[in-house]
Amino acid sequence: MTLRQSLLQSIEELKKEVAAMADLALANLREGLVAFKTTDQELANQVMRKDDEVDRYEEEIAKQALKIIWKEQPVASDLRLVTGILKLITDLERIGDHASDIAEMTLHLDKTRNMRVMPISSKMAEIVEEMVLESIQALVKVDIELARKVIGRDDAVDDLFQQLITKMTKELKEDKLDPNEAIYVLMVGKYFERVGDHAVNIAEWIIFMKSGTHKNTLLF
Amino acid sequence: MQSREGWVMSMLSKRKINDGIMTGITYGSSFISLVVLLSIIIYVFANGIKLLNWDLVTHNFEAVSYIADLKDGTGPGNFTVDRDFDEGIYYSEKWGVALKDDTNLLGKNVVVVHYVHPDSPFKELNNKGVGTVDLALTLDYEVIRIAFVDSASALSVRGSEIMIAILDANDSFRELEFSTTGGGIRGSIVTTLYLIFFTLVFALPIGVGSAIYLNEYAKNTKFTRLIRSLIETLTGVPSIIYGLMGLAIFVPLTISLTSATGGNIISGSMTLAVILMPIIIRTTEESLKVVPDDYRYASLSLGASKTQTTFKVILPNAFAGILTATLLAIGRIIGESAALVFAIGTAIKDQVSITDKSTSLAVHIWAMMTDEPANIELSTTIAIIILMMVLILNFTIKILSKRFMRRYGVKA
Amino acid sequence: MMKTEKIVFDIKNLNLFYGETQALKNIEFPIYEKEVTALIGPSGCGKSTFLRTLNRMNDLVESCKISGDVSFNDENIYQTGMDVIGLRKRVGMVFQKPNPFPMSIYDNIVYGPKCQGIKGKAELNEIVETSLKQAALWEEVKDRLKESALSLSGGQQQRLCIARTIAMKPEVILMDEPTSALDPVATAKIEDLIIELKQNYTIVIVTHNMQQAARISDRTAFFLLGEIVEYGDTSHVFSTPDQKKTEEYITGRFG
Repeated sequence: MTLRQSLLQSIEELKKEVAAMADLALANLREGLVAFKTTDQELANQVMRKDDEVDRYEEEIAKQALKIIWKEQPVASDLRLVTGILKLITDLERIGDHASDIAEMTLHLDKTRNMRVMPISSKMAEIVEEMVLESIQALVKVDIELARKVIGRDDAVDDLFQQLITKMTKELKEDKLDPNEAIYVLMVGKYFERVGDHAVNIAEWIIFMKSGTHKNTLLF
Repeated sequence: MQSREGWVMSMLSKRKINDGIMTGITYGSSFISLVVLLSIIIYVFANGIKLLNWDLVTHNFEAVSYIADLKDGTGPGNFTVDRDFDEGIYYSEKWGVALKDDTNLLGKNVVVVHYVHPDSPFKELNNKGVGTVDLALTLDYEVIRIAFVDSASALSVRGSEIMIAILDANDSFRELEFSTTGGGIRGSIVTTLYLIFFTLVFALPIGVGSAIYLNEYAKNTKFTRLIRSLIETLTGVPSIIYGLMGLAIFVPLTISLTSATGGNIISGSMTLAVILMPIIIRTTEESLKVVPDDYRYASLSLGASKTQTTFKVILPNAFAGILTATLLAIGRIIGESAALVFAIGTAIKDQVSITDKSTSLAVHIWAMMTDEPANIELSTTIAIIILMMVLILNFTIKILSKRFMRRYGVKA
Repeated sequence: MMKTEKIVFDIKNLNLFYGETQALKNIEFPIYEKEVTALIGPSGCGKSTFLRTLNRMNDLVESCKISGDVSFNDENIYQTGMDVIGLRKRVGMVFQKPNPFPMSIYDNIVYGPKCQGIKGKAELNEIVETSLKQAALWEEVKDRLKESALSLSGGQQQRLCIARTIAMKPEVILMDEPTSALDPVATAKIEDLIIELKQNYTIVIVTHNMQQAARISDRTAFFLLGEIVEYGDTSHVFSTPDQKKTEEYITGRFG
């Protein structure tokens, strides 16, 4: 039997909590988009409330991580894991915030329109969701290759956002869009682009957990 | 620079010389010790091996002399035998007896009976002295004198050849004086073994018990410190003083308690026990001290009482030391002579009784050496026997204790 | 896991003198059942002395004088007529330097029970197996119970001493710096063992290794110059201690 059972168990529990937090944030993100597309204000309120849970997760995980630090005095990979988690939960919490922000915007929309087709934003949402899922998988499996893949996909998201801007500019000029709506749609796109960046941050901290190097800087 | 090098070199070689001298001294001392010890052993063996034989150990000391004459109706005849006797053995066919020259256990030249024909008249003789039992001349008896009616006596000093010749020249004899072989040390060996046993029986329990009390139970007060220094001093007291004490106290004590009438083995053992007690107490205490306190703490913290701790943990561990004390004691007992001279006496006995005077081997040597003339050869022989006894005893005790320690699971 | 919060040892106003020198001043705090209570502090500050008062091993020091109240299960253990031997059966002790008897492994463990009068072979065998299993040593030595205890490594010897103490089925196990003489791997094994043992035994451990106290204890008492500076939940003491001196000691500002 390996030693330091107490430490090993604490770390496994910590990882589980992070995965649960990520699941919650992602679910909220999906529902936020659905609420926006269907102008479902009730759903929107629900999403905004659920964000409190995501915030609580951040505090709870921070508490657990600090306990591991004072109690078990982790070093090496254990230390990198715990401090990496402390950093990436910030990004997860931000993702949760963005979900809430997207939902909040629903409240300012025209209630009569209840189906929006937003091909580019939907595409961005799809990619970004995968990125976050994969980064959490990379955390649980400590898989650097997967983390690098996540980072690589961000370019696609940025491109899509540029496409969105170009399309909307064109359509606004051609007077095909309601400017009020357009602004909110643009902001949704911006939020997803931000979520993509956060997913990249998470992936970079995961690479740090394995190698001690963050964005090409050795932190030790 | 060269002078500095030279200085360093001279310092080094000075040190080397110094080291060499010191090493030489240590080698030299060991060599001298070895030489001295070997010399002692060689001297003892060289001188003593001559008289060393089994008879010495088993025979009585007292040689009993008898005077006999021919039984009525018996006389010389024709006692031929088929065998040839070796050179130096003289056989009388007329009387059926063969005599030879030999040295007895005491080293004197004597005439010894080598063979007696079963039909020889010498087989059934009249006892001329005290007692009514018939006598017989047997193997190894010493013939001292044969007296005749008409001619001169045959004396053993003239040798066996002449004795046989004179015997053959006569048809009867008036008196035959002979004696059993004596000079054996069997009595003294038995005494020594008795002494070892009783002394240990007296000294070990009291000595070990005192040591346990002093080391484990007694509080460290001025009083106990005083007792300890007294015991230390006692180890240096010459044993002859203890002998006087034995004479003054133990002999009267045993006389009043038992059937003893003078110095005896019990009083000797008591005296020896008193001599040995300080040594045993000291050695046992040292070996108790060496047992680590860790064991005491462990035992007590498991809920064992002080007594259990002492007897189940401390004492088995001190066993090796107590064994040493015992072996030292035995050596001292065997070698002790001065004190015993007073406490047991110097009468060499063949029938040993614990309530009677006797001699230990060491006192036996003393008796031999104070005899006229001093019998050095026999003394060295007894010395060899003593050495062998010590070796055997040591060996036996070591083996027994190994088995004991293994049984109690104590590691040496 | 819910703790019972039952107090096993209650110490009030404990003062201890070695001759003229006062070694413990006004010690007062409780020891809770089936928890690990750690005593930390610089060397020579009375931690080991205090530990020894709990099983009256200080009685062995002639100049030692005690005043105050030390209650074990509501019974003052320093009252006249107290059965000290009975106390030591219920409150066992493991020492800093492993001190197995120079006997076989088997004999070491049955020593205590035998002193108590247990003789049956079957019963003794069962005690040996149970104790060694609880001390996480059974698998390593089950085929060589008759070999000398001294043939074991340092860490194994210490676990043997723990097994020997457990064989007496105590309520409390006192440990006086049990891992300070051991290498890190042996230390880790014993720490894991302690965490498991606390399910069945109350443990009081003196340690000069603060990180060890953080790792394994539920409550911590900080001793300084014979007094208790702070006593509380370990998580509290090691994250936000009340006393400045505690903070300074724990962060290594002095020692």
